[in-house]
Amino acid sequence: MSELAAPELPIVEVRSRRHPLAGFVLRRLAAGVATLLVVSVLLFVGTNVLPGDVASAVLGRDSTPAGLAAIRTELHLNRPAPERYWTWLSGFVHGDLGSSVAGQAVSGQPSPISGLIGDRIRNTAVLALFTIALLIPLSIGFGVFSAMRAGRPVDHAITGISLGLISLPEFVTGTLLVLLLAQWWGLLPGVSLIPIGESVFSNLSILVLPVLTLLAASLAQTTRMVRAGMLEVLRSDYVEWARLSGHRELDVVLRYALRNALAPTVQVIALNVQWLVGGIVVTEYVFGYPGIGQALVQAVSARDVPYVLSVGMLIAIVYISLNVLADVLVVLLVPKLRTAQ
Amino acid sequence: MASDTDFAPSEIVRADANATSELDRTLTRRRLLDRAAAAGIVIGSAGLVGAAGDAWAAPSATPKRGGTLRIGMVGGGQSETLDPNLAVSTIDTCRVLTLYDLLVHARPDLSLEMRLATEFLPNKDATRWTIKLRKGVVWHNGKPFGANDVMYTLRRIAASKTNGALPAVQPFDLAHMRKVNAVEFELPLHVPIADLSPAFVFYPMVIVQDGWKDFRKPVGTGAFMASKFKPGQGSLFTKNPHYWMSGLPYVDAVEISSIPDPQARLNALLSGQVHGVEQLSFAQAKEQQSKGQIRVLVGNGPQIVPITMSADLKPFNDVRVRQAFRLMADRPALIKGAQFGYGQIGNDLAGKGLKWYANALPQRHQDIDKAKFLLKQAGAENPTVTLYSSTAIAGMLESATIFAQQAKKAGVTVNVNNGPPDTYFAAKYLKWAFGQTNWPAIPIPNWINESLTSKAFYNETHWKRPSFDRLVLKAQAEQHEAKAKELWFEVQKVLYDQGGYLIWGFAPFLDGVSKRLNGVVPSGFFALGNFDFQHFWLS
Repeated sequence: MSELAAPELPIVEVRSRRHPLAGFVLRRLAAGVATLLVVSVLLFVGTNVLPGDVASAVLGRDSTPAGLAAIRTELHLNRPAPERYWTWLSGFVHGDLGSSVAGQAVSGQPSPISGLIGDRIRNTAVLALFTIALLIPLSIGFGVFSAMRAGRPVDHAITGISLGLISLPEFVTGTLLVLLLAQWWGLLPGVSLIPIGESVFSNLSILVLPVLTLLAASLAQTTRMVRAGMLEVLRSDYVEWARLSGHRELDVVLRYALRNALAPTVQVIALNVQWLVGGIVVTEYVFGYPGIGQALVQAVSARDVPYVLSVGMLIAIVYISLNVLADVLVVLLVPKLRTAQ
Repeated sequence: MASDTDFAPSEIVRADANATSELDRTLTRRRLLDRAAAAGIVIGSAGLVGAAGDAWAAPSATPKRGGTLRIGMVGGGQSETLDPNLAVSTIDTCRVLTLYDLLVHARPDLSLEMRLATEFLPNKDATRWTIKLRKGVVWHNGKPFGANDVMYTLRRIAASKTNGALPAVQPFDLAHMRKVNAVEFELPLHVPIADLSPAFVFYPMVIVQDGWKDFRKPVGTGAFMASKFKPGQGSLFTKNPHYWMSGLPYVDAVEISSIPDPQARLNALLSGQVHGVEQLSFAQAKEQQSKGQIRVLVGNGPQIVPITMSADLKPFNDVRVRQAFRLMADRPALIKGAQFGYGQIGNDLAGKGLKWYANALPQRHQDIDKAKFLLKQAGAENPTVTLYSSTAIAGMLESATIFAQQAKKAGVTVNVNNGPPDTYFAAKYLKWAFGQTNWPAIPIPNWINESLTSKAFYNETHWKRPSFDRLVLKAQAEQHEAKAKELWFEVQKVLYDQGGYLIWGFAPFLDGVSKRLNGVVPSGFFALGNFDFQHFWLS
């Protein structure tokens, strides 16, 4: 985890007339676009090397050569791969996410992906936002508290428990939570189905278990990072000086130490948020939650290449944007970095 | 056998013109799941109904009306559809049977029930059938149902190239169909078929409305009407107030949800969010049966997950090798190991419990000495073969692994190739020398036509014998019951002695239902009491 503690920080050129951050942001955005192109090629190649295609996936064992040919012709799957990639990419940069080939294969009509994923994106966003809204204050609170009590039983308890939680994969934590809270005590629904025609907001109780599952993994990791960053700062000279000047310990911690300890924290929270956006897949699957991650799994099974590409790219865009945002935020939050060099 | 007094109200059931039906005749040629299968699942099956451990809600109890029935199914993502021509996964089947009706419906005990058809009348040599349809049935959009709808449906199936029941309509001479009146038509055949009605129980043969093309807004005659549908997520169907079965359905609505993860499906049932789930794993079924919190439906039937040997590829092109491999299988051990003891042992023939099944052939047992002897005679001692397997179907990989162990005793090395489950039936299926497959409950004549004749769609054992084809045609055309039985026995004797199927056992349907759910009977034909939701009610 040490690589997280030392994020790659921008070297801010003071000479520049533009806002010192502008050049940095532009460079990062350009790199982001290049990354996205690479990601799109990888996604395309990845989904195409899987055995079978959407026609065989839709027809299953009933696929007769005539049936397969009919679907492939209808969906233009016989065109060369570079051509299919180009059609998708040129549509995507113009804001057209394309048509779900699995949906089209079974309905005979184009099924625009943009119309299919709106609800799912909202559902995933709600799940992620609830998690983040709890993650940030809790991890900072636990981390700071643990650092202030470093070496004492409460610190050992927090670090021990968090180590345990990090070691457990989400599907194990999720299953344990279901067993405990849904099956034994019957407090909460065991799966997070949204009745058709209703929205997640009318069924908030279904969010509790997935949010707890996601928190278990991300909170533990973030808490440990906050604690590590905080400990380092607490040992520094300027904090010692503040103490010697007679400030109360709580003031020292919150007003002097915390901001400088936040650099790695912001980075690790950003990483966790990114993980929430893309890696929520397992949790959604375990709870049957109709989010974008579950849809992605189904699309891969159905060999729905445009769907996988477009959703994969959207996730990559969010991921890269969050990266840039986190870097900028670090510079803004931590005064020390603005005057570096 | 579970009582179905509640299940088959006498006013709507009329005996099949040709059928003295008890068990048998039935059933479906099912499309194989794929995505559903990817989740590792049992499908299909049929048979003798066995209740699981606990008592049924008394069938005599007065059904309660109202409420929303909630069902959790495996799901298939964006490719879920309400178009019977493309319905593939079990969730598609479930929805299709909720919306539409079949001409002939298979009951959980595998007997037949007339639904939209009322009578099948053959001409003298069974080459031309007159099919009479039910009067007074109305579509969800108010139009009257009739012969035009059925004729349109049959033509649509034949033209689709993708409908799972395509093999079943192959013998129909659709170009020369003739409407007799609003509720009666004539169906000529290319070959004589002495018993036609079982050909209509395949669920992709549900009847759609004449001229209907937009299956995003489907119209059926079924007990429930489409209200909302989001592929890969869920769907809502509301009660059809004009349903032709008087007094049915009991519930006001049916909600069918996609829950791909097997544990999540079970969790949904245990925490009361759904009333029924399909496809419990063998382990889940065992565990839940012992706990008793829910009811486990065990629908024993003729579903099979056999091993296939291609009769034209080495080393299986020698009949002695095929026989040796069949003798290497310890069938009870396979049932115990691969299916947790569920199901019955097989005798290398499909369709146990169905009409024409050759019960008289002796049960084959493991005989390692004889297997070794046959291999030696064939000049194929200590062979090494690759068995193409996968987790596509529950018990598939397990049975392959166990069989490989058993084969060692005869000096045979079986390398099990575990392929990706979601493309198992797409890649080398029908090409390999030694593989596995899966068949649902399907009438024996249909199974033989689809898998063992020279032109069969799914000739998994590469079984191409003109003399055998002639024998099948002869049996199929025979209208005299006793003679037909002899001929079908002869057909099966050939397969028993020489065929390439190693059918070591039969697999049941395993579903879970809430104790609040009534009117559902374990079915050997399909999951969740054949999805006959109009009979279900909630207490």
